[in-house]
Amino acid sequence: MVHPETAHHVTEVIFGLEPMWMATAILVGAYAFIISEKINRAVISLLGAGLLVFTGVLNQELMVKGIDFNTIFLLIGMMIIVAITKRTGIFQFVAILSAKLVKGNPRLLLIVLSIITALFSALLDNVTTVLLVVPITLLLTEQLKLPAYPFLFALIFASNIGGTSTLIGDPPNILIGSAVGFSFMDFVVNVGPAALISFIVLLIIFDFIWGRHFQASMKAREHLLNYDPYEALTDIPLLWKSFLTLFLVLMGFIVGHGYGLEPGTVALSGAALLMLLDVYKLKADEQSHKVQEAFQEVEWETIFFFIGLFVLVYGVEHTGLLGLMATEMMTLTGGDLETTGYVILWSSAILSAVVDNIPFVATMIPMIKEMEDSLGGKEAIEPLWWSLSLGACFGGNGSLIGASANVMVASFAERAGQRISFMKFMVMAFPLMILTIIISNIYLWLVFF
Amino acid sequence: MPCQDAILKDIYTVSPDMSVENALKFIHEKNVRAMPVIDENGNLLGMLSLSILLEHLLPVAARINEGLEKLGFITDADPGIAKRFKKEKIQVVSDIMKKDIVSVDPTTHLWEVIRLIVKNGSPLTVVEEGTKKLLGIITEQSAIDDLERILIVLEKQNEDMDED
Repeated sequence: MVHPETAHHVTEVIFGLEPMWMATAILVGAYAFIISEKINRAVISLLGAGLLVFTGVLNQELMVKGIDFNTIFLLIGMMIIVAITKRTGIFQFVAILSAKLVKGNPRLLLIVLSIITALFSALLDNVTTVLLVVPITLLLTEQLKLPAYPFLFALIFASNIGGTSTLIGDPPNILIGSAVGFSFMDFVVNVGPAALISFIVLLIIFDFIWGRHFQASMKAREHLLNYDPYEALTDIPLLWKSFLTLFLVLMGFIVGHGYGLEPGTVALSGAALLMLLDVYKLKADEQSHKVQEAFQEVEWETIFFFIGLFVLVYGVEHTGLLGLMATEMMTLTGGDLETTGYVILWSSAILSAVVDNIPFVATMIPMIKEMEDSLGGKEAIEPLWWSLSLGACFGGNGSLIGASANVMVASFAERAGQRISFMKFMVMAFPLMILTIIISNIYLWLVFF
Repeated sequence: MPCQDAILKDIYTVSPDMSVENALKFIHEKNVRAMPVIDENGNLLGMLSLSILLEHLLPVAARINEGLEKLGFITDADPGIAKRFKKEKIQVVSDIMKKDIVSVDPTTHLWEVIRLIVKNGSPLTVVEEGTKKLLGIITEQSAIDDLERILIVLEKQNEDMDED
């Protein structure tokens, strides 16, 4: 999409090179480094963004325009809210309580832990969710003398699929929602059903492969029944404050959309409110200590990666490459909406399994926007966004490096001395991922095309 | 000032293939909290201490980085922990010793030694410069003793100056 007010900016690139090829070279170079994982992705994206300005592809003003601050604010806001909420111990509480509710039955435990992970992931980012659920899972499996692997495998799928169902659950959705202006409920209504069906199918498969074979001694299960989940709660007043804030933020997402309130504004205001509730009684130096602590929990690496990436993609968008690619894709699919949707679904799924899905989605967004005119306008192409969301989010399940949550679970497993092998994971995860994409394809066909 | 005067050279050590049970008895008998683990050539392999032993009793979920921060919800764990302890005792020292430990050499300055003890706990192992040969340890107490000696020397110097 070319912004009207900047469309006439004449780009002059050093050495008289064609701006489009300069931008493309920088983008391809940056992506190559990101994929190779030789150098940190945040550093690469910031360097690439800087290069675009130094070489004259973008000027200062355009660079800032390229950054989607709604996404940045939404990420930062939610990270702060989660950082404070997790101090209350609520996540362990829920996990222990459910383990007790199923009376330590290992077969049911696999299912409830997956459900909890999916629900948390829908409202929090996936990495945070697994960070909270994996340690308690390791404890429960150790106590029941069960292998941790099936549980960790299920958690990866649950977190990625749960995250798919909401605007804030997974970075691709945040990007899509922010760029197109979808509401929280738009995602729940349009992507949610596909996520729910896929999740139920997977739970049945997990039970068939692992769950039904689990054995745990009655003695070990009795131990679990003696757990006192209330002991896991550390700060009950803070818990109520967190609940209140999360409720207000969710309401803000749902209601605010109609009033033109962006989710980023809602989340960041929510974060400020929760920090206020957390510190208002304290002395000035204690206040700044707590606030600093909350800010430190923000994953700045992710934030700066996004900032750099936005500029990188804006560079190629501004110079017209993405428009060109969109036209190419239209020729390929014969300008047919349905075919385009399936191509987006499958290509994003396969690619997201092997490379970082965030740069891919960030590049696809302006490209799909370019297709608007030839495919019948903003409303007509809506299903393409759902295809992109389903493909990119579900695709992340395809390999151990497909999504950040997978990497986090793998790192936990390694620390706990239960390394997950890349190939062993992929042999089962990739076909299961393909299955969820087939389900998505049928869903898209039935509902939208 | 180098730390050489703070080093305790006459120390107890254990060998890596000693059983944990025997090492525990030895630690108890000698009334210390920790002992360096050395091979037959006197090279430092690791450290065995009561706190390292206790750490091994924790479930892995609480031991790992970013793991569980609370275990208070496990209410009837005592028999279970005792059983873990029993299993631990039949292992050998090298199974549970801490391998990545911080060492200094006799030329390291006392301030740095104190900083390392405050940061990583006592005792601090001292090895020959450039090798792994164990020379001794520095404990919180031996560092303080060294400071006391320095004070006495200083006071004596002052007295001498006053007399002059």
